[in-house]
Amino acid sequence: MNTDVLVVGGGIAGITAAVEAAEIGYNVTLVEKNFYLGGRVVQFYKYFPKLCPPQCGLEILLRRAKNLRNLTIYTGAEVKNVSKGGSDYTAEITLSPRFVNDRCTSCGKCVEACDVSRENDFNFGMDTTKAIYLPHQYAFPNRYVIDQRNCKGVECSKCVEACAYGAIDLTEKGKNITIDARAVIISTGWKQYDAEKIHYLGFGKFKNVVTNLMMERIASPNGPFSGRIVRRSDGKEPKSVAFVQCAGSRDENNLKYCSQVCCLATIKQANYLKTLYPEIKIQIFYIDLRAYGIYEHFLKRLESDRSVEFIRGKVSKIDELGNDNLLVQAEDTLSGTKVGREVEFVVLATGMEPSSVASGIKGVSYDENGFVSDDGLFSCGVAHKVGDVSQSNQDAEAATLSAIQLLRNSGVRK
Amino acid sequence: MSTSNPVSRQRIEVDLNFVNEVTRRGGGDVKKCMQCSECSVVCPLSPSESPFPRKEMLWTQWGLKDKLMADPDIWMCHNCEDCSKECPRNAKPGSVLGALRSMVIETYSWPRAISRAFSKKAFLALFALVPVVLMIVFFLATGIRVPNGGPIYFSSLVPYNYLDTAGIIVGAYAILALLYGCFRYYRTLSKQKKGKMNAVIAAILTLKDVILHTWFSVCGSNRNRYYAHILIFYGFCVLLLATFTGALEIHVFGFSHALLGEPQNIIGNIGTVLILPGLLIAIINRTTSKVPKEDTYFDWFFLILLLLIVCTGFVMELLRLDGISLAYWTYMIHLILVFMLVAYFPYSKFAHLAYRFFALTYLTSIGRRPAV
Amino acid sequence: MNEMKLNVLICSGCDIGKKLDIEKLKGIAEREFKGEVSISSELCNSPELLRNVHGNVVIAACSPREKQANFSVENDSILERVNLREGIIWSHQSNEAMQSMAEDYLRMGINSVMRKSLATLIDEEISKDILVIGGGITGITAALEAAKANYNVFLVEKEGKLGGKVAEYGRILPVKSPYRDTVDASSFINERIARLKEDSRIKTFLSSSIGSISGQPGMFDVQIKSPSSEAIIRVGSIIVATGWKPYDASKIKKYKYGLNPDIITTLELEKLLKDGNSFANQKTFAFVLCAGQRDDQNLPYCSSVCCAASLKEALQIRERVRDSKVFIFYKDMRALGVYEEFYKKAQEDSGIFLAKADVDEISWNDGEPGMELKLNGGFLDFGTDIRVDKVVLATGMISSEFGMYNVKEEHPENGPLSYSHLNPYKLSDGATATSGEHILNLRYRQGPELPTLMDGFPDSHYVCFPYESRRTGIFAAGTARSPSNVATCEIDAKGAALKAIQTVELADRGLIIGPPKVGEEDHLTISLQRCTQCRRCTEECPFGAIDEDAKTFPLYNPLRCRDCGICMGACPVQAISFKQYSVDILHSMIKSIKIPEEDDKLRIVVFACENDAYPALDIASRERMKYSEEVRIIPVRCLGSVNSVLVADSLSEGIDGLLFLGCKYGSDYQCHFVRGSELESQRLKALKETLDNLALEPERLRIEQIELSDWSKVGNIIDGFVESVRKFGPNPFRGL
Repeated sequence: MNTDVLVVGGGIAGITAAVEAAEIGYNVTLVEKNFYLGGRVVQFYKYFPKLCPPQCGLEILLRRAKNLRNLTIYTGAEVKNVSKGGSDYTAEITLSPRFVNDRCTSCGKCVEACDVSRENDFNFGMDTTKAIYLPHQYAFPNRYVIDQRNCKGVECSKCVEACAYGAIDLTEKGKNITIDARAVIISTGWKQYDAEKIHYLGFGKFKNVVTNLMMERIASPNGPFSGRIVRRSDGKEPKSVAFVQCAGSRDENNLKYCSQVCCLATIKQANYLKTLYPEIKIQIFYIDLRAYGIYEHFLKRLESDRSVEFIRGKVSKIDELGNDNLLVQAEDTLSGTKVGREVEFVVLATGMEPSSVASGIKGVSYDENGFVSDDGLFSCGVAHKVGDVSQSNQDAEAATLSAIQLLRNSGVRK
Repeated sequence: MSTSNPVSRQRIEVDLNFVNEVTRRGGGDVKKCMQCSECSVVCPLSPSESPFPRKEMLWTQWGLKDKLMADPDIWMCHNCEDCSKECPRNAKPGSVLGALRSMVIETYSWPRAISRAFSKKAFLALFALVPVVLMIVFFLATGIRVPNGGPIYFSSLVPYNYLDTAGIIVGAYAILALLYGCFRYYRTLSKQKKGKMNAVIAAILTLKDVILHTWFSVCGSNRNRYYAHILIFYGFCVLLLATFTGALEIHVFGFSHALLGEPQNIIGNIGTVLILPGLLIAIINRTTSKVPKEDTYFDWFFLILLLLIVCTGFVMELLRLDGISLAYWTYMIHLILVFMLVAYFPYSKFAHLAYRFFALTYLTSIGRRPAV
Repeated sequence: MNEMKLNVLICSGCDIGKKLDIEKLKGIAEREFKGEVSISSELCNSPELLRNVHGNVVIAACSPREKQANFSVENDSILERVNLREGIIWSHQSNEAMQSMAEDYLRMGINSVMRKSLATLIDEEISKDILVIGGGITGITAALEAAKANYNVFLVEKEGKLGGKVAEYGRILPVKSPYRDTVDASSFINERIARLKEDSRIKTFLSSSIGSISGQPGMFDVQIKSPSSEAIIRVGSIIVATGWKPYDASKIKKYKYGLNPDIITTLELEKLLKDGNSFANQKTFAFVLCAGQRDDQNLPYCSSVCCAASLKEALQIRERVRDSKVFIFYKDMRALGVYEEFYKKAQEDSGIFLAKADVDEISWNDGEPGMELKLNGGFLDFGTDIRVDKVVLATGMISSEFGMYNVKEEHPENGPLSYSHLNPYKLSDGATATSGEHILNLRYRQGPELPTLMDGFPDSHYVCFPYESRRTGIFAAGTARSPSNVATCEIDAKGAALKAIQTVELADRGLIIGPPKVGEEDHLTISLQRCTQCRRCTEECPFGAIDEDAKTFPLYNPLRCRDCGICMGACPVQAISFKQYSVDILHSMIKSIKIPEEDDKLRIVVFACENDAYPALDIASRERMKYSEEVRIIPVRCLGSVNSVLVADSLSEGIDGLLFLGCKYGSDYQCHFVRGSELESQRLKALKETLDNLALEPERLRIEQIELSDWSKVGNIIDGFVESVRKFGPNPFRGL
């Protein structure tokens, strides 16, 4: 298969790049590893600083994508290798079986029939779905998926019987395809840093210590608790929450760099927590509050709330108390005293680690932190550089231009 | 979000060379600190009010020498290195505090010229030369030569009365110089805040802490260091006892020479058995530490010196029993090393014993204890 | 009414056929509208049914957000989707109510499609050239990058040379991994200037300014004033890269700038460093970060770059002055992202001293060198003073567009601020900006510059669509758009170049430029016969698409238009309509709703913003959440497109209440068209007086702000409104 531009990764940066290039008139192929587009942002509850839902912008982007006939989208597709030959790049892609084809009308009869459940990775394992499931309420493509690891297969076939449209094929096999592209944009995004590696923060040991991304899921109306922000241990609404900034970031033992967005993400989460529970006590432990640019207003607004306490000092120890509460320990470096605060819930502001660290693409070169380093391939979003959604989108526009320049100068007219 | 208005203002003088000095003593990563205070929290010894070592890191970065040379907190640290392991910037607060402690010893020990020279590696040969020269002078003056053959009696090389006289002079000098330094340090410390407790009572309590290694035992993570220190500490005490027992045997019980099975030897052997593994653990700890050590000449000097004294002592005993005359040469080396240990007591890491005691006494008197 | 044939395709799959009487629906389409009807139990999987179907096509199946690829029609046809699945059977229970709902929706869809007409393309001579204003790093990069994609570029720079601020620096911050090494500013910028000069696609105007800009994307006519000449060029899109100005340090009273020559700003320091100044005998330097920034009395925001830039300058001083000491006092060290590496590098320099502390006071004795700084915080248990030879104030960056044109939405609570587009603006009157000279001199009805946010940065939906300005086809980039360092400016410039290219390409095809309706092709017409020259459309268009002609009639610029229909909602005489969206169409849909005869049954119209509220309803129904059967949902392009006359007519025709579901407005507005929902709420307020006159309860109208993610609440909002209307009983005008 041939395409003008191959975009690897269908998160916000990848969709933006693909849609923009296609709107200019080029043939674009977008390849996404998940069975849906939207990447990380679709897991967010709100964006900062407007506290608006990410699905709003995605809705527009996806509506544009749906109208573009020169945009081909593969989901459940992972690029394993990119190689250059002549003026083209060749990408080797593994397509995972979805077991549900495009005859699916997303009517949901299959789910009613299925009696096997699976851990819901979209919600970081905090709840379950059936083995045949819709990745999430906003999923595009709006089509069901079968989790190979849990499905009982052809012996069961209850879903196949339930489907009136012949959309389910339990014998579907994965396959490998290759795509030749004139230009490649890598936008494989990021994963949250594994908080278990920061042993003293107790993540993984204490149920009420969650990461900021888990917090987004918990707060989301389509999250594991239907948008009620509650503790994982007992389902209780927390009366006090501590935010731990730089959880693993700016740390030679973990992520060396600053992820740039965690301060703002915390301010955002503190904001929506206050909206949901006006009486809640919030403590934010930080080293430097990096609310850069006009986001300063966002910080100021929270600072003016007296029930939100900012403590300058890194949290270096979290202990669990008998009532599932947590003792968060740090030094308040402005007053020079150690503080130990008992809170009911802890959110770790873990940083962004480029996806390449877990699964790099052969043929793409990465720097020591795992960000794509320029070698003729273009990259954007967090695969390229840490940044917020706005910066990732800007970066996507820039990468799209690079791709177009390459096409124009190798004689491809739109 | 700033601290309350300070009562008295103080002009800070930033010493550009201070950091270089700290670097020379193994605290070279201090500049990497970003004041996150991970160190103060992971440290189990660090008190809740004005915890260390974060503030010391800042002061060191800024070269606030006066402030640091009057800061007793650096002696609360027993160097378990939790802070250095967890430091997100690899700034190694543990090593910085170590460097600061060695600087306190240098700053207060008397006379200053010797203590300053002693801290420099370049002068090591000179300091080693002193006992060598003294020994040569001794042999030239007395005309004593190394005996050839026959059973080995060390007193035939250095008669006890000479040895004792020398020991008393050097020991007295060392102790006086050290105490003078410590008193100066204590005076500086106690000017800052009046103690709530009588200094003598505080000293007795501190002695108890030292004997029980109370502070040390609070360091939860680096148990090896704790054991090593206990072994070295008590091994050394036992060896010291052996030395006095020797003197006792000769002067009180009138033994003319040492025999196997004498109390001195038994005690000495017990001391060796204690101290040797302690030293070996300490050395292994140091060389295999996850926190790579910079140049810590100050620490190594003391460790190696102790090790050599123990080894030479042990070897010379074996040689003596086998009647090999090489024992005399070993003995000479042993004496030179012992001289270095004793004479340079006020300037070497050995002095930490006294400085830490005084600092902890002061801290105890003002009620500053680890937050446990 | 268009004259095209009516085709109605009804799907009975996904239980639609089980819950609804499809034959009855078929009958309505055939009998009432003479349509040709086909039914399928699996319409989306039956492509053959859609083949060779031309004219008006009504597909009654699932939500219009589903299966677009399967349900697309040819260019000669108009498609209307009737939402039977999500809109009816998934979100309601009673079969009887659902049937009447389906019949209403079908009639509404058919009436709507028959009133639409095929879009006509704009066929004008389009220029694909790009104008870049500003010859600093952003402007140069934008020009080079656009030229590299084979577009012609005009670059206008007001100074006699290129390079902007970067040309005044000695070194610039690292631009690439591992972000530790600074770069020589001159060679960096000169290399780019040299490339620019060689590029035959780029024409540069130095010492020049913009006399005026008129027209629209693809057809901007730009007057360039040069010292000895004047040129008129036509371009397709514009990049505003006019950079930044330093904040006036003398306004920060406590730092006494201007009273002592040794108190300087970072920009002044940059010049000293570039000129090779060796700071005779000065050895100690203090940087005061956030000087006048993050400060409500001065600049409330953070300029993002000063922390890292100060570290860079400190390193340069250390290199330049032997045994120098550089003290840096910060609030928060904001060496962002990968610049953490650069922070580390600077920290390791033995002569750079960093502390989180405030500088409370600077004092000195006249005639003596040196200054005394009073510090607050930083050293814990003792207050400190420090002597230094020089103080460097890290003052902030102000956009060159600052103060030119403020926009009300961003700071509604801040009292009277210039909102000049509400007063007729005439270029010839020489309107004055709050500060400085005008840059763009747009000959737009709504004013000569880009509307700016509260801090003076021209911007709108900066999260999802960072380049959108409120002037279609004009993109701000670099430090004019947000405070940025060189590496960010380069990316920004490139992104803006892409947007500029996309603009000319879309203009060339006559399509809508800019989200959310980018790429669509519906344009409006204004009936001048009906127009009363009230100017509301020219004032309320969020994008300034409508100018006024010499006789003060509205003058529509189709390529500035974003298709929101706010003007259509604003026009008191309903003179504005789109080919496929008009008051008439909406009215016909409302008239299609059968008012129940029983008094206990209400009929309520819900206008739902198609971007957020309508998808939220979709998601809710996907979750099988139910809401009142007494409502009829009408998706609208923007709440702002709903005309008050339509609302009043609906009430007088017997509709019991109208609910408006739109986006959040105010300072954190989420409306895709900036002000649509806000304008509608104002109109409804005004309308309530009319209701009083009709003796109708004003509570029969309600506007609710909802987000797409509010799908779990939307049903309750609807039900709550229905119940509140029920208290007043049915509309007294029913059946009159």
